Amino acid sequence: MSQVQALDIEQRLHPLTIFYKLIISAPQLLLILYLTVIRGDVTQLINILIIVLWAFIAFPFIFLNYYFFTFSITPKEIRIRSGVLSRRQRIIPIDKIQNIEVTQNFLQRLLSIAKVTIETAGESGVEANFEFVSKTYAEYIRETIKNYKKLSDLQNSQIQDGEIKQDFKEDSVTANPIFAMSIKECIIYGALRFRPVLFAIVIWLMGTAQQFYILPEYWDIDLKDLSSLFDNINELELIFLIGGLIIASSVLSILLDIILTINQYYGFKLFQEIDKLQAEHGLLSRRKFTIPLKKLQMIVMRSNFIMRKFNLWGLMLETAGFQEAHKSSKTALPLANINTIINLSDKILSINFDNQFLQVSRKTIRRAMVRYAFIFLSFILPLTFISIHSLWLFALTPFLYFAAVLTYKNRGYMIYPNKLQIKQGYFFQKISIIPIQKIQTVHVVESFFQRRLGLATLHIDTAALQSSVDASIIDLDRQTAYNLAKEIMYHFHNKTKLD
Amino acid sequence: MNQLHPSVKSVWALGILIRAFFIALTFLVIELLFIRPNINYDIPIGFTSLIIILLGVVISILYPILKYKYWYYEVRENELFLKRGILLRITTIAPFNRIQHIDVHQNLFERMMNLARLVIYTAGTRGADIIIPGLPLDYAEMLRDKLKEYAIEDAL
Repeated sequence: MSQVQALDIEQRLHPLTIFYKLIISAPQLLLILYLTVIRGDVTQLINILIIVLWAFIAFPFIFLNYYFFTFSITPKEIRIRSGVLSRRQRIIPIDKIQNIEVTQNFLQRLLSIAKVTIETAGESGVEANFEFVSKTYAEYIRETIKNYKKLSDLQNSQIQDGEIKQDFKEDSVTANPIFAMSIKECIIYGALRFRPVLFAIVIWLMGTAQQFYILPEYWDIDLKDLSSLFDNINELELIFLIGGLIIASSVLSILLDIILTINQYYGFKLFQEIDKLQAEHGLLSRRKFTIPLKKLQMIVMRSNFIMRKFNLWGLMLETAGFQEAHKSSKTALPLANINTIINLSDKILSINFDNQFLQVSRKTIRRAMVRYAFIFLSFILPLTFISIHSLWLFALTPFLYFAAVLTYKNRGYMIYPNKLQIKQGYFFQKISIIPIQKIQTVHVVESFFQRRLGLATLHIDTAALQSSVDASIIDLDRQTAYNLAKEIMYHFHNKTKLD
Repeated sequence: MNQLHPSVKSVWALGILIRAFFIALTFLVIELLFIRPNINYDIPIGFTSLIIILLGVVISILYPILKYKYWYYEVRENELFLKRGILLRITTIAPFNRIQHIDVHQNLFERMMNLARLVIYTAGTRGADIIIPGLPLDYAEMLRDKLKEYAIEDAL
């Protein structure tokens, strides 16, 4: 069998690579053929030029690239030579390799070839791709590199510690998950998530319908027709109609969310390994992911006003890396009792959490009030055109004040020498915990309106992926904000000096 | 706290003028090609462009003065401190040991004034690159070389 051949001899990729690349480039050729042969644009000089380019450059390049790409794998390093015009030799030391992936798309599966991606820990761009080798050979390469890596790790640890580490199991998943979710918990989670699922689905359906011109003409409802429609029903009926509609769509939305959640988190299991967490979940398509704990930037706990009553929270781990693949926000615990989360973060992430927070400035109530008033007005004013009786909704104004107070009460922060805790939101509460040494930069921002009230917002930047997880303490007293920034930097320098 | 080099005001002013000029030019082209042939009206040709240019001149006088007035930076013992912004006032503290990469940039106007921009990259997500404009070229290069020593490979 060819795949058992020694890897340390220089070798080429699978010959079917040429065939695959030719198929892949076929659409380009078809386009040119369409332009020249079918439409008869032969007189167009540019088309002829493209054909010439394709025939004399792109087409031979597929062969030449294949011919000039050679690789060899020794117990120490991977050596790759490539390039037709400018030759390149790349050497990847085995112990720098972080991850080896074997992927196949549909066409590649038909040809039984696979792509091997080798990721390293260094900067991006040093990774290597083998496009393509046969499927069995790809697996063989992966196993071999893994073994080599184990060997080199073993040697390294021998040199360092003078003895072989006992718990050396690279990919064997521990039998007992540290956390598992039952189907009942999935249902509870789905029922309590309150995502606007129905809304999203309706929007998506409308968009799709519009794409295919399914929407009939009468979707263009005139506002005047609508108002005359409302004039004909009496007010009580209208209230029942709207109320019923809201209740019905909420129930439907929750049911849909339960189904989606079960599909997503069915059989959720979290395993602990030496320096990473591994989780698997899903009903129709089972997903697996790992969270490298070294790359952990911050942890985020999420809850909403009902989940909080039952002490139920979700735990997200934000990781970062030089490569996009390592940057992500991953759900470590979709829904768990607060004590489970505190335990996990304390033992495994060594981040202890306590529910103590300092308040932001009371003036935030004023700012929140103004913001909510604007949102409120933008909803009510259009309604008054439909029915003047909507003006009654202004009776709800005091609730805006309560909402603003709730916003204020649920904003909090706490600084410790080793971490920063930030709490935000009443209906959907989010608590971010940032280890001090993971902070990248600190910004104090005073907007025009904040300056008039003597307020400032403190932003803490970490290397976590999304801007949505960026942690900020909104509306602090200006002086408090600057002092806090100073304190954070003081702890930061202390912490990083020790390391 | 240090202010930027005063010539940076001219760099900013020139930048605004150039932008105003190109916007005016675009408007002129649109007017001549699409609007004039189809619609008849009494405003003389190029009036909109003229307004844009005048507006550009006014902004290029006022904006750099204000921007300069509120731009401060300080190279501290182990961190970089920036304070800037006219309406939105932003204070940034960037510790040296979070710097990943550091560059000195110069555009055409900056080259004319012998100024440079220090661009500091961190691994952060929000405002990941910190820019200090309007530094004398040799000072910017000195600062770059000094800060480069702190730049570490694995800042995560």
